[in-house]
Amino acid sequence: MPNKSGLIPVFSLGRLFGRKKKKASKENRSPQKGGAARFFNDGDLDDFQDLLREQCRTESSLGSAQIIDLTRVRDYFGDKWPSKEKKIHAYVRQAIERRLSEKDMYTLFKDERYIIVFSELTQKIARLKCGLIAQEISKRLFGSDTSDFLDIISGTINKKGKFSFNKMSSKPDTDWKEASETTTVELPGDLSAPKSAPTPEHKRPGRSSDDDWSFAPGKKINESFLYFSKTDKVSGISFSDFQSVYRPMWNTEHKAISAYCCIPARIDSNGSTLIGGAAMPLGHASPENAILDQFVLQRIVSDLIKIGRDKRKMFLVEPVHYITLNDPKLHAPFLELCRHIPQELRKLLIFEVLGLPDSLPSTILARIMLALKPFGGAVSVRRRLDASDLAQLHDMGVNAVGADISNYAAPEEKIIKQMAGFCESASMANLHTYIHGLRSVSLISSALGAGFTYVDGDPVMSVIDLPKPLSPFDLENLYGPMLTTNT
Amino acid sequence: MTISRDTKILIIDDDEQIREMLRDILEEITGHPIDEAMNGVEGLAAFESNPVDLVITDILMPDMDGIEMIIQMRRKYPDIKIIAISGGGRARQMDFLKIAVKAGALRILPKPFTPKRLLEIVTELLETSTESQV
Repeated sequence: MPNKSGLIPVFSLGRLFGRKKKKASKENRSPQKGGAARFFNDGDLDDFQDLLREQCRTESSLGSAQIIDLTRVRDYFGDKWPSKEKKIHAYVRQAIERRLSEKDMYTLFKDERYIIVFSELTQKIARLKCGLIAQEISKRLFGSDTSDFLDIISGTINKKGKFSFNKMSSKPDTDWKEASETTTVELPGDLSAPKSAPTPEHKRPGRSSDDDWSFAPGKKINESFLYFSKTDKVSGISFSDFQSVYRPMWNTEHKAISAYCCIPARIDSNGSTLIGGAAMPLGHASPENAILDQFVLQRIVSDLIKIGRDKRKMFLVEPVHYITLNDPKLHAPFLELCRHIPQELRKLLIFEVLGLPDSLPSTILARIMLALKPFGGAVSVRRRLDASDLAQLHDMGVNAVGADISNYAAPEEKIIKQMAGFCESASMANLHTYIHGLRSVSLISSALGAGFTYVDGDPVMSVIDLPKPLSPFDLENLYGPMLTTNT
Repeated sequence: MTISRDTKILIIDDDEQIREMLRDILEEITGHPIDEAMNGVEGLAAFESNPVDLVITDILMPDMDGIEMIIQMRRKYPDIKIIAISGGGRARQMDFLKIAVKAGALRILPKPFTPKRLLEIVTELLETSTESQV
């Protein structure tokens, strides 16, 4: 039973879920290799805990434990559960394994619950990861990402390998220190002063160049630029609740998943995982967007360094709001963060400017391009799908133009016509094209037919928590699940 | 052409002009109205309510594209004969048509095509059907 603090001692798990402690036979004590992570069948909880204790002895990091509970999924299916159970568990395992590393492990216990141990993640990030897993399972089973049927319970692991679970707090813990003091730094010049590269006078004291920025994984960029102690006055949402995730983008010409768009995400008090605009329902003109833009960029800088270290090939996309770049008070800290992007990795970063006014301010946009170009390999601009002013973008230095239709409720017939018109205009302006948030296979196939270079959406690949190495992807992958079922 | 006057055909295409062109060609040889649908969802529903001998479907359509439609139709009606058409200057039409074959289309026809070529393929498929029944 839970103690006064609401925590459940690890070894009472069996009693809590009505299972007897069981000694597994020697041949059953090895975990099954399920994907890269270690998987234990239901009934092997003792072995799972033995391995966990062993891991805690040898690993410096204790990690985080989470439970994904399918009990209400079982209840929903009722009498049909026995006939669907095997298939649903296969979906769940697939969704879990896609997101685990070699050091992670998970076990099925008491038929409908999965304990997952993330060896290197904080509880907050592990919780977000499980939210994405739950979202994928819900979409697969119910066609929507409702969290009504999947419970996630977060836990901690102590140094003896014991873990304790409690229901997720409505207010997750925060990894971010509060910006208690602002360090005085030399900030970059005004956006109106175009320059091709950061100049020495803009560097922080004590650093000889941008490239020797020793940013070890896990080390945080100067937090004086971040305002995570703030709470949005309108929504009451705390910025400390945010994490970031990646939306995989399919390069339809090179037939590969080769770019990852980083977007903010958070778990709300109901346990639902909210992504992008749904996570922070701000208008594009809200200055609070600058906080999220910095937050996402910080994540990207950290991941770019890992990508460079591992010599992996992929692009990361940083969405940045027009207001962040156009407001003098907001653009300076953002561009200061940009200076932490190692020079040799900048070619892997694509900036995506969004939230531009309908009436395109060409001179301001041209200045923004000049300010961003030194820090990235390309700059793209997000417009409305029915935008008719694409012709001038190329002359301003824009490399690509795209749209996000995640929340565009128009009928597909209309969207398809607009996609064709958008690509035609972009092609005439000699611009690459991309489109975010395609919700169906029919929209994706039509986007390809229209000629979009990059497309993304759940039918291509669900949102993930870490960018993965470049992987081949083409029509056979898009239709693969359906074709497999057919044969 | 030796197509039976009893032959029933369903055309699925979101382009009204293409449907009209196909209808004109095919009604001439069947002698009766051809069934039509604007996308995969409507196509499946039309087939369910009025099964036909041959389905001619576009690939790129709203709500349910031609590949999904072929997969679902083939799953429910393994013997159905399907011709997939696509293109009209759109990107990657041959890639889509190759997938259509994997999904279960028996013949593919890149746009633009001539009425003669369409009739050749339709006749070939339907004659095969007649021969196999004999």
